[in-house]
Amino acid sequence: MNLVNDKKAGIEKYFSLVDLSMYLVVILGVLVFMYFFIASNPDLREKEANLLNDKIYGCLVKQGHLNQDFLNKDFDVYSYCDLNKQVFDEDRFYFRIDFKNSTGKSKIVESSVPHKTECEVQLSVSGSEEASSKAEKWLKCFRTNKAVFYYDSNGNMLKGNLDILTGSNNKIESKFKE
Amino acid sequence: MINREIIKSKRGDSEVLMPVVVSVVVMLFFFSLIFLGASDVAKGVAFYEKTYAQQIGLLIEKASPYSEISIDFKRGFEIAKKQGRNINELVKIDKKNNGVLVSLSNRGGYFMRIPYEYDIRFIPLPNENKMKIIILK
Repeated sequence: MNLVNDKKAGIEKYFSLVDLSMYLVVILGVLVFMYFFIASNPDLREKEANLLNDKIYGCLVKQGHLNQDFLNKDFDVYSYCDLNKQVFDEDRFYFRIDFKNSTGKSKIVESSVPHKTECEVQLSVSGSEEASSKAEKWLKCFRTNKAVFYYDSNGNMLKGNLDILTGSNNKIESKFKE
Repeated sequence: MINREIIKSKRGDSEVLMPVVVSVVVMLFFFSLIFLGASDVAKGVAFYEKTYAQQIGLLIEKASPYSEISIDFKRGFEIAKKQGRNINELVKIDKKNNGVLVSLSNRGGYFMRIPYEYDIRFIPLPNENKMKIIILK
């Protein structure tokens, strides 16, 4: 009995209950931090939406002139700009190309899952922190709106407006072997 | 508690100083273990798989067709060597899911979708610690 008491006193001499509970709290804190560190992924969606926008603009416009193929009825933006249709159909990425000619007539090409409203809301609320946090789970969007030159059927050079809205909802995924 | 014991030791109770020293040494040992463990996790396989997948994914999204990019892949080769992985299978295109898959271990890897239909080749250059990415149309 005395031996047990002596032993207990020995351990308590080095570590009190307060010390041990402090260690436990630190261990838990580090474990929680590590869990969130591993689980967290940097949000690249805004950057991706920006890059996609640049790519589509670069593909359709050369030196300020809209590629005439875009005005053809059978124009396929996927094959023309090397876009992977499946990824857009899966709702990972989004684009909407709106070309307005000099008379205000529009030609719109959009990916299969529309997100125009979400994008416009998100872009319009980007200044408000509260609204931005609400829109955090939506796809991230980027817009380019520029004047471009094009040729009409008579070969006259005219000025139109090209509005490109792109979005990304892409996330990095872990793949485990089954 | 420590302050009280130090005060006691000032009173001349030299035996009290020993537990304080032991406690401090154990505490330092304990915190070093935690920080080493945390840094090991932070620099582990999953961290590098994720980082390389993001880096390569973004580079491909930014690059133009018919371009060639080399990235530093030193740590990737080191990890793959430890894990016994074939260096030709560390980075590949998952055509079914349309993205780039970085797998440095045998348990899987990290995957990032790419919105373009490029023909992409990855050439590992372990002697130069580089991974060459060739983007074809």
